[in-house]
Amino acid sequence: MSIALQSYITTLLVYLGVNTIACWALNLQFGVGGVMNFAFILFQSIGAYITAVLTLPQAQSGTYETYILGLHLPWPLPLVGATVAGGLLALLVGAFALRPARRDFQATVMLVVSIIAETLVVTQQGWFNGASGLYSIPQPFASALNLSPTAYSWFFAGLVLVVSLLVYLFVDRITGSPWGRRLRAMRDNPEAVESLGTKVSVESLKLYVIGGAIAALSGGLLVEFIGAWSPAAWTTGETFIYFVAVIVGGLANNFGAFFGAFLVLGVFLEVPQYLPNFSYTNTESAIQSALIGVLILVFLWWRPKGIVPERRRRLSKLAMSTASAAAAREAGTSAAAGSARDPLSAELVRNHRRVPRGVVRDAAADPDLAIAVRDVAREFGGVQAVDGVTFDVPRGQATGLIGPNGAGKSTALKLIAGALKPTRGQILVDGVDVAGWPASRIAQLGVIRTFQHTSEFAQLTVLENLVVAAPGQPGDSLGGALLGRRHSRARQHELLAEAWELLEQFDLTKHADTYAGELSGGQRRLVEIMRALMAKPSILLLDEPMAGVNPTLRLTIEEHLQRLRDGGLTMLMVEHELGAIERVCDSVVVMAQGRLLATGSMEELRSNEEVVSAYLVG
Amino acid sequence: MHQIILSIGFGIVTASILSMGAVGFTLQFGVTNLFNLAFGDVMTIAAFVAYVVHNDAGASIWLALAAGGAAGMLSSVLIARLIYLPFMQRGTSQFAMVMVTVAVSIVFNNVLQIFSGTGFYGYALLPQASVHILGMVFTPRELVIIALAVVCMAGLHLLFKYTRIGKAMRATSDDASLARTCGIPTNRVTNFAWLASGLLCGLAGVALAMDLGTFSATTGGSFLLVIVAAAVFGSVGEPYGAMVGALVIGVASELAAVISPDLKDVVAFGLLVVVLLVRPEGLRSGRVQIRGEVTR
Amino acid sequence: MRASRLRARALTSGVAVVALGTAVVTAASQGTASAARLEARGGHATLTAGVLHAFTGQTAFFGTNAEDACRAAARVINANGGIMGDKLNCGIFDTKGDPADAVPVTRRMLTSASNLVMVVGPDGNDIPSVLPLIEQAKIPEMNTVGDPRYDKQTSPYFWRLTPSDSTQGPAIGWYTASSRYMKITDVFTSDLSAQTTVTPFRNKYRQMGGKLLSNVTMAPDQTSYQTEVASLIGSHPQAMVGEMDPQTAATFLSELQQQNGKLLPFVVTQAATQPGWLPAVTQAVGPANVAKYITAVAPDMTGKGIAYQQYVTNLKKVGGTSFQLGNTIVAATYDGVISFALAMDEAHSTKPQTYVKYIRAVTTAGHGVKVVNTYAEGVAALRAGKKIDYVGAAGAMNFNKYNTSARPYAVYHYSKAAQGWVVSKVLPATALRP
Repeated sequence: MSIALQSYITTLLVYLGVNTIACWALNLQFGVGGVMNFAFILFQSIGAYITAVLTLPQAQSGTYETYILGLHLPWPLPLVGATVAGGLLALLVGAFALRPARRDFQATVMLVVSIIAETLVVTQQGWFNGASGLYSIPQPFASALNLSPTAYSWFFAGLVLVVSLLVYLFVDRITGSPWGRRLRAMRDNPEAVESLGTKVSVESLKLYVIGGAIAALSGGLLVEFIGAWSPAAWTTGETFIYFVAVIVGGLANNFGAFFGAFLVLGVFLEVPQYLPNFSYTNTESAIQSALIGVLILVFLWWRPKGIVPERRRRLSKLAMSTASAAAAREAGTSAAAGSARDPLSAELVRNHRRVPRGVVRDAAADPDLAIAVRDVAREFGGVQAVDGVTFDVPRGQATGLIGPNGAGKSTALKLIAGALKPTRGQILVDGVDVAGWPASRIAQLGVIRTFQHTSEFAQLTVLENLVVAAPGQPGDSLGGALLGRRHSRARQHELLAEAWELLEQFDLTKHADTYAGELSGGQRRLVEIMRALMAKPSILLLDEPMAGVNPTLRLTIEEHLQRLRDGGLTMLMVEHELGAIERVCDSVVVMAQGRLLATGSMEELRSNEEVVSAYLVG
Repeated sequence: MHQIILSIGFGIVTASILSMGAVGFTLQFGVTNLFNLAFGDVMTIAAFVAYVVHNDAGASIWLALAAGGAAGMLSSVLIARLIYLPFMQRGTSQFAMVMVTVAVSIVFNNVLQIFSGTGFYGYALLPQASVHILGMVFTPRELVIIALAVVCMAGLHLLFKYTRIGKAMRATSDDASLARTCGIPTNRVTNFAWLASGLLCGLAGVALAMDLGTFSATTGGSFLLVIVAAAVFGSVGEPYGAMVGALVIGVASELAAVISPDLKDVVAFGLLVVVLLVRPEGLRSGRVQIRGEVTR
Repeated sequence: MRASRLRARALTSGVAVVALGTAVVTAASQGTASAARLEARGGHATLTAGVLHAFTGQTAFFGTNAEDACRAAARVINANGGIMGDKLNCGIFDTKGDPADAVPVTRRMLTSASNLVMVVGPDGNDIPSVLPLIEQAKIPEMNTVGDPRYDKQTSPYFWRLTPSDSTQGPAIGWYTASSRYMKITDVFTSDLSAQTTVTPFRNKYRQMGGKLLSNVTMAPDQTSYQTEVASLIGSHPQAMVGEMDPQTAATFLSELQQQNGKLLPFVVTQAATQPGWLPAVTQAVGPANVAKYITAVAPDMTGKGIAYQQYVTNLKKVGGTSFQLGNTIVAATYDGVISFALAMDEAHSTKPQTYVKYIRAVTTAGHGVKVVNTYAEGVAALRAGKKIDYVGAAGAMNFNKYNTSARPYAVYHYSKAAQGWVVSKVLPATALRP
């Protein structure tokens, strides 16, 4: 091989490595976590800049070049510094860009941040030498090794390979961990993850910081190789090229991200250059670019999940075997006691939770009251959706919450769950006033809700939907994820067995490996109820669990709810189907037009004229 | 002081153009749930159509403006019907839809370049004497643009408040599936939303090109970010919020130019960031929620 | 079942792509090898001038300009016997105006271009990352970047065909002050070459007694510059001095015209001589106003004599535009290719490391050195054993000791007849001193 060809190949290898690292970072943020980081190129760029100013000696006056730092640090400190800087910048940007719950808002803020940063870097010449950028950045070990340029480029390609492998091990630990599963759940439905006790903004921020740091590392490596960096290298459009790469490759799949980097950044952008050496006119290059646009469209149509789609985690076999092993063990021990094990019994739904730090339970509170709603109101721009409502949810009973359309039932439920904040009033859970708490914190007290609109994690299998809900799993945190699979395996097996038993109870084992998003509406309701049970609720809030469910499945759900009630689980249930309310609930609360109308058993209410007329009017 | 009043006047002109764009963008998002990043390119198409009508066919600039509006409507409906809807009906995720719009934007932009080259175009407009109002300076044409924006905004207000289709649009924007179950023909509503937002988009495109004095194939695309910022500022999907957003961003960027013109963008966009810090869901998030809650 | 089939398909397409990539690389290396074989057999080879520029993106005009200049020069060279019988061909390599994207392209050029003898390019955005690679490969390159960081560079392979921006500032300062505009406001955009010009300009202008009333640094590509225009008018300058890209200039000047009733005299840098500027600005404020108020200060392009005629003829033959005919950068690049070819003739070698030492020799005036204006004249003089100084379409090259051409600057005015800039006056050498 000629020297020039070797240099070309090594250059392509280095770029492939750098782009793959960047794609892994973006895949982690976007593919796994669903964060649309439209400022992505900014993080790669900060890594390049910081690496440059940590490697370069101090700026000399009279050289038309000004920049900060100039610390002249030895390798690998500049790369480490770049990675840290990328993380810190992501922390700063993420702290406000991730505040809006809506992802398109987040994306816009990030795009705006990217533009602001570009403007600042260009206008603040003292930072990184403005629009002209930095140049003559020395390559690591170049003088110490004293290799020929070709040999050096092989050395550098090796270096990039080593770093890529390290990054791969890192991202693979995250994506393969229980935490990774939680992140994917967050991608599919952040609100539902929040309702299971996870603070989504915090987890997203962690992910954002990790992605930012890795992106910065990729930028640092690139600048060490090419020796120059300027705003021309990181126009906002480049962010979209990376997005195209991870989408084409396959989201939430590290191999897909690698493939995307290879295909889009390596092949699509490099091969067209080999087309016959025609004279470039603007028309031809415009046609070429338009074709790239068409290609993206065709691709999104033909392969919406990418070339290497997200891997479906098939866990049913493992779950079944661990479940039967556990059952066999239990059979040995419980035969003596003579009681069959019922997964829906109170024993299983007992509260496993710790009281969050700093929470003091009111010793004087009535121990029989699970929830006490006291004069709670919620106003939306002058309209009282809930207007001073007071009612109790007794412990160990099922309470129904009914009322005509617009009565404020769902709003009341959301207020208790913390999805909305009350404008006034107290909501006591086990004697603790939780009014104004975030949903995740209330969930940590054991108050778990289901949703009016089904809120399954569509791209997780049914089994995963259940397992992800269990609190306190080893490996379900950044630190835990990095400890590796061995650290979390034992508990995962227990949870799988538990989930399998639930599936058996609900007769859904044949769908264990089905993506929840592919189930029927009624089946999704069941998954949601099972998921709530996996979260070990002390209080279960059900928001129209029968809505959109066929009559047969309704009966099944009803039966399960009855068993839960008999097992002693405290429930509060909003439902339009009054027959179900009557069969499931011990007592009923009636609301109309934001106010409390009556409480009592269904029988009592039926003779209450006010209630009857409210329903007729409604 | 004098300078500040002057700048407010200039800001109002920018805000007028911006408001048509931002409201159009937000309407599309509200009704169709699509974050359409090809919006700016449709603006450019409208600007070119108006150019052909005015400079080549010799029609008056106001007729050209109307033609631009019509072009905006037509192209919006066409991309919606031919590309966006088929993708959405396939259940393409919202992220992927953003990429679809980016791809459409790339195609449009380059197809425009095939015809226009990298050159610059401008409407053949004669200079006009300035009009002084309350210490602010406008040209008659700018006053017409402002008036046009006011008429559009007032028209939308009346539409939302008094017409069936307008109310239906609001309802769909709040909750599409609920609107469908309530018997609102969402298909017709969606079509109407594409037409209305396309009209606004086209008008904004021509007004922008008039105001800039010169434009090229990339003009609309480079203006898009400000539009999106104004829309997000007022909560996406909320037309009244977008109007406020447009006014604030338009005026703020001119005021910023009094002190440090090179950081105009930074100030205008920085303001957006601050608003989102205080109200993470945008200025008018309360309105969006209330309708969502009360209808349930 | 379904999933595994999908995976299989993914793998197949992956394999296909890898195969394609390998084929391409192999083909590229074969190209080099076969050309080398051809030369070894003693036949005439085709030499390549690698045009390494942005051909896509915002600065794509750099690429098309350089490409047309190269093709026109190659046409002249090939029509006059080639370089010692070898033909010169211009190969296109698109850097996309991005220092990161430029590296693989440069590597590809170095490996795939057969008999690469010179590089035409790169441009200002790419040169920081590309220059080290070209130096490593020991191929002479000719560029037209303004970046003053290369003012004292010492690489023998670096040849800058137009003056540094550090001389542009003083030239504008000198011209403004000597035009009796003693109170001005400067209006620069906050991007690339503007900032390297501003400080040298202000120093020179103040040194000559000029008074800077205020300065407006503008963000490019805004929708409105009304406020900036108002504060400019508020400072009541006799004239304004600055640099803006086409879109910014068009918007800014039309708003100035609107607010002020008329334009102000505007002295603008060589940015105004780049493509798109005049079309955008004449569109916005009308050609009469451009002719009356706007003056550009840029490297001289007098455009006379046989060298210029030959340049015009051949540029037109390769599809050059009327804009390019009067453009210093295009003409200087054309001259660059011809002078590199003459250096090969003088060196009796097309080997880059050998002929690079003769580039200065064929472009420097001196006692007993024959001035030649065309390639044919040069070849003939060299055959006759004479020393030559090539003075081409854009005038004398005048490389200084850091390989930067020390061309004079000139004042340009808009000519309605020519629909473009024409030189109205060449500035003296004192104008360029800081």
